[in-house]
Amino acid sequence: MSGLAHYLEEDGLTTVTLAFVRPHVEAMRPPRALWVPFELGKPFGEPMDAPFQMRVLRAALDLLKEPGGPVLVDYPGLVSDYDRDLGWSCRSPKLQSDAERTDAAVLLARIRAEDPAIRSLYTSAAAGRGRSSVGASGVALDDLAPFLTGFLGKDPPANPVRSLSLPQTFRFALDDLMAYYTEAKSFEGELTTSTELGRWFWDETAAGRLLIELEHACRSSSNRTLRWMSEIGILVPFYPE
Amino acid sequence: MVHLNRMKSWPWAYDDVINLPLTLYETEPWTPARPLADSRIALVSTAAVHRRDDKRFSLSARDFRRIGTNDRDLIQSHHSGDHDRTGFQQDLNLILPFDRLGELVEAGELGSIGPTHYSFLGGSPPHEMERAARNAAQEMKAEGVDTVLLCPV
Repeated sequence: MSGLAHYLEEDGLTTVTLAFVRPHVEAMRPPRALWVPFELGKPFGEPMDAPFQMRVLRAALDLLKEPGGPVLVDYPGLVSDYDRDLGWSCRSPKLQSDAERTDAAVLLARIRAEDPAIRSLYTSAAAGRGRSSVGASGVALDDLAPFLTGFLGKDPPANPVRSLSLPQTFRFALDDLMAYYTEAKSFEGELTTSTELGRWFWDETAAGRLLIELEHACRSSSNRTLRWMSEIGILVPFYPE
Repeated sequence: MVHLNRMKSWPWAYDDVINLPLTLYETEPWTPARPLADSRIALVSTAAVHRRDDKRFSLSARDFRRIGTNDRDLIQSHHSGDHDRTGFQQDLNLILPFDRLGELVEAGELGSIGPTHYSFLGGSPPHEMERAARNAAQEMKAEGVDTVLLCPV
């Protein structure tokens, strides 16, 4: 982000950068930067809190009044519970052995059992918001869980999406399944914070359990890219004990 | 993922973020700002969000996707598991504050919003995105944009 600001400013545009990682900004020195002490993924604070978002936006735009730079300013406010907030990360432990795995058919049956309630909420949420972030994988909603469950077997399933590689389809299908659940559950204020949604998804849903099991299965996958994705930790955001 | 301060109790992950190889710059570019009320602003995001029918970002993507000011049905093809997605799912303004900018325009505090905004895949080495960034700059200037707000994820 700081690097992009350098190029844009050199080409005659006036830039202001919001930044999460203060040491990076200190080293890269974009022209104007506002460090925001928020959870990664939330540069403007909290969803559905327009006054808070506006305060952050104004703090950023105030940097346009600076006579020279580079200038780095800290956003003064903190959301109150960040010190104890674990975000949407997964507190459940990683599986340590195959003995802890659930039979794939049983897991799929559990997901299908919880689907009608999720589908009803999701349909209302997508209509109510007029948007949904589900869809990056290109896998239909009804096919998400069966497709992903296929990766619990010895060999990965066939790729149903021609425009993506199999690991890409897999990676985005994970996001789609989780977004399907969390968009549903966050509608109309049932659960709203990332901590609430993360705890519910990882601890209480069969879909969350599927993702945890997939992280384990990919560690020994015959597909090299899937093994790599598991090794570098981009499949499940585990939080340590 | 959590706030970075919490990651200090998770040293390998915290170090992964803090110790990412950086592109360092010897120059200090500075383009004087116009009064905000006369400015035309565009957003640049590294959230890898895009229109539903756009090509997905690959892990090696160094290009950008264009987003219109009125686009709301956006999806995300970011490979990282490090950032929260539940906020953006509930409120697009959390990563692309189109509504907040519109309110500033209505109040007369901001001149206008450019018609096009740009989305990159964060985490890529910035020097590898230089060509795309400069191309985006030319497009923005052609649309009368003079001010850019860069929004990470």
